[in-house]
Amino acid sequence: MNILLCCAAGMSTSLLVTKMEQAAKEKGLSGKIWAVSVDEVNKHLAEADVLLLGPQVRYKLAHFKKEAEAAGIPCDMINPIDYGMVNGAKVLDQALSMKK
Amino acid sequence: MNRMKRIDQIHQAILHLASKQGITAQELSEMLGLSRANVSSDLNQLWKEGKIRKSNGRPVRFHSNMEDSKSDAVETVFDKLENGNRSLHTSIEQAKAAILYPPNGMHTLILGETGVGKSAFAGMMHTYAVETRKGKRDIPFITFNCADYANNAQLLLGHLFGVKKGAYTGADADREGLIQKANGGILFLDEVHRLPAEGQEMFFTFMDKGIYRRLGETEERTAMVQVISATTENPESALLKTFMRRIPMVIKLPSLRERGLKERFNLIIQFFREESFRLKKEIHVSANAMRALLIYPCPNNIGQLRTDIQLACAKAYADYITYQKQQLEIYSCELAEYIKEGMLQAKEYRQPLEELIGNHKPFFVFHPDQEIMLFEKEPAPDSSSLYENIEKMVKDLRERGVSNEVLELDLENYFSQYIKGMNRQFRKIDLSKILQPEIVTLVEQMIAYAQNKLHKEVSQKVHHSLALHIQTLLERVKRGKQIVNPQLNQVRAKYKQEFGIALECVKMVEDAFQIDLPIDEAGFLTMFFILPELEADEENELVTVLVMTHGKGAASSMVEVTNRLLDVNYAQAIDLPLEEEPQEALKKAKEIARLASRKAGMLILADMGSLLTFGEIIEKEMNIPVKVVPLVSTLHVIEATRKAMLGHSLAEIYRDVRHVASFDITEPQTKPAKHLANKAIILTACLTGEGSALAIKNMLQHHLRFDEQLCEIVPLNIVGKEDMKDRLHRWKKEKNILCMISSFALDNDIPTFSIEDVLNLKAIHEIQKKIDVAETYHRMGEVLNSHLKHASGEELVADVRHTLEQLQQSLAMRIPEDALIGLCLHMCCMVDRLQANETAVNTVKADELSMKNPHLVNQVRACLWPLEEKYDIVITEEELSFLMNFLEKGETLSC
Repeated sequence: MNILLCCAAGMSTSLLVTKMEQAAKEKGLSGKIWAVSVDEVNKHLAEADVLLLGPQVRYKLAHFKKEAEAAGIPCDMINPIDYGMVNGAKVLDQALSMKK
Repeated sequence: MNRMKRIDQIHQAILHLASKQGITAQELSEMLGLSRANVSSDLNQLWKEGKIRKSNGRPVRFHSNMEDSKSDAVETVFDKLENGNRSLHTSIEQAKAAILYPPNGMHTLILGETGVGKSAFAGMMHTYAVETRKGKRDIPFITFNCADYANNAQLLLGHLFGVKKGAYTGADADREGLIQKANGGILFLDEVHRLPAEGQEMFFTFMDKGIYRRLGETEERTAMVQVISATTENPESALLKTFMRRIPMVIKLPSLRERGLKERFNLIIQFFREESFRLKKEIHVSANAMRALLIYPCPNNIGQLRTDIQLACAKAYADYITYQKQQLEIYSCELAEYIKEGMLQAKEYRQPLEELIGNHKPFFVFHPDQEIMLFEKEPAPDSSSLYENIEKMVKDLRERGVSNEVLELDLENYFSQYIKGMNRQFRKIDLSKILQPEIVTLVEQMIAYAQNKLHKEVSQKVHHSLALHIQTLLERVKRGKQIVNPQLNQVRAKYKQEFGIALECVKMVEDAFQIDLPIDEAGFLTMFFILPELEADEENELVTVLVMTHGKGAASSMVEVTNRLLDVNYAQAIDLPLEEEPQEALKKAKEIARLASRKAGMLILADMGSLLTFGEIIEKEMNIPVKVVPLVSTLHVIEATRKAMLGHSLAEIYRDVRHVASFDITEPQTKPAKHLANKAIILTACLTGEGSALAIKNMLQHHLRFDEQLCEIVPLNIVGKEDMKDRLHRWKKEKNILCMISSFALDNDIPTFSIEDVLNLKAIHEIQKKIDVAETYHRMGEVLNSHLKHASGEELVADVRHTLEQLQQSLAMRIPEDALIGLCLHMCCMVDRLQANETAVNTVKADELSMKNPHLVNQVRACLWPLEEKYDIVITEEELSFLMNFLEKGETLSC
């Protein structure tokens, strides 16, 4: 499963990406997890199965929900507590639960 | 038939309304809704029948005849007292005998511990004399406390016996003594064991023969005075032995302990009824509160019991008018700690307690109409004015936008509140306009005297409040209101030196205005001289903010926006329309400066031209510090006003407001933000002491999930000696206070939940959220620690949070907590990235930044500066641009 993360400049989320990749490995999941900035989401949407937004860009949530819907994938904001704690496993769970 | 009913109705009304002034036919007709003519004719009928009395003069006032009929020995004050106070039986019989002893009563000594009611008892003896000695209504009753002048025998004797002009330096007129004033009546000498040796012989002679001399006089005078004296001392002491030889009647009043529960119960009921009557409100007292009041150790006897009940009522009243309670309710958990502790002994008294209380409902209800003012004669605390003051205080606080605040009810705190309150008002009022010049001069003399004696400065604040106090005092005296200080004895014992000074000051007031003041006043004045010690903070004077611009309405509209946004009425505006002379604006500005605090100063925000020079002129002419910020914008005004109201100094505000204006940042603020990295704390506070705070703590521990390594619940004792606000202020800097559970908003910066909301679990969810957020930040620090290349995670998180806090304050907006967490992580990574000299992966077009609101950009830059300093980085335009995106587009809440 391919999980696309979006934050402001794409950097703060990279830390989370590392953690999520670890968690995915432990679960034996394969797929791509990567982070991009708000401006680039559109370019990557086609590749993704799930779109997750950092809480600091939640003002864009409504906008991206529409875009994601058009692309036929679920989109949500990362639970801020999990994001803050950089809890890769929990965010991964969140992504999995969205992709039924 | 009908007429009989009406006349009865009128008679009843007069009996019930029986006030000293009586009532006119007009008032009565309005009150009863009857025609004046009818009322008038009925009244005359009643008068003819001898059922009522009427006064001479116009309009004619009618009085009840009751007082006269009472003196037909139906029920005397002592009969009322004995009813319910069986243990006083012997004492009462003795007192009656002492009063009735022909021709003028017998000298009497009353013995008993502090607070058993010696003064009250003496007062009742006087009432009894009035009731029984028919035809002699004006029997004087003069009281004197020998301790008041114990260190100055001459002054004491002068007071007692009177002074002949020239008897000693300062005796510039003949003065009659208390003995003369008491002629034909009763002289009550309290604390008679303090009568100095020099006066004893003179006084004994007077007691034996009724002869005395004024100081400095040779001719003998006579007076018929019944001396009632009182003491707490052992009658075996030397003075009292000689004294007692001359006193045929010794009455011993039992202590509260000796009087038993039943009588104590009656007293409690009596006191609550009197409070209920004063407040004109029902008072509900829980059965447990009654139990506690019945058995707590009360070393100062009835006096203390009474004061404690009054304080409990005052507290309940405060809760009532701050809408925390629907009615006046007193529960045991809200009583003072030492009263509550009484409950610990409840077991020993179970049997008698349940006999008194067990059969009753869970509440005792006291109605205002059931009052019988038995202890009226006792120097009762001026409760009504205490209540009035609470009311005023609360109203005042509300007007200033504070919903609730601690109402510390012991006298010291009450007074420091009083003075603080005064000073707030004083900033706006010109002192000389509302005070007589005589008072101002007098106060200056008093302060000079006190400073000289105390060898310390008396602050300007005390100056003002003292002046206003004297003014109020004079008005009270003029209106014939009583001045009574319930804490007189404590004050006297605790602050000997200051009390001595206060006594002198009382004399100064007496001399200056030709009036007599009770000794109680000295107790009040004492408080003004000890106050500087009690007061810790001086920050109450605030900087005045004035906006001046050219053109119609520019300044006022900025001020209006500011005041509306901050929901205050603080900043002031002067518009200078083009057709108006600048001199006109200067005049107005001076007017505002005149009302500003000399100490705090004034900040002028102006646009350009001559307005910028006003600051210097005003500073010189008005002798007040002034700073001027040019090129004003609404943002400046908001920042200045907000800071001014928070009590920042003129220099601080000036510096901060200029940051808003330009890049010219010369003094980076690198305030340590350490407290944010510390253990999170939830404070639980309770007005009634640590006990209930602890209970709340247990409750929270039960309902909240948290890691004890990261979070702690700390109960707080508000009643403690140390100034609460000080303690909080200090803690705020050192500790990471999440929120507070308290019935009062102690500090506006700390989120506060009411005890009620915690008890009914409404607040739990929100508190849990705060804990979660705190833990999140903590973990964020830990995670970053292992990831960051350069900085320490915890420290960086704390610094970034501090920066974000500043940013929100500076922009006057609130970023939602969720987004804040994201933003924090983002910025931590940003700092690390910049330290490592990495560039962001995805660059936002740099030109966007110049498109943005330059004011906002400057403000954000100013806030980020400390971070750049500390971590030795330069935040690039790209990075800044992202933050700007968020701040401009993000869902923020302006506050």
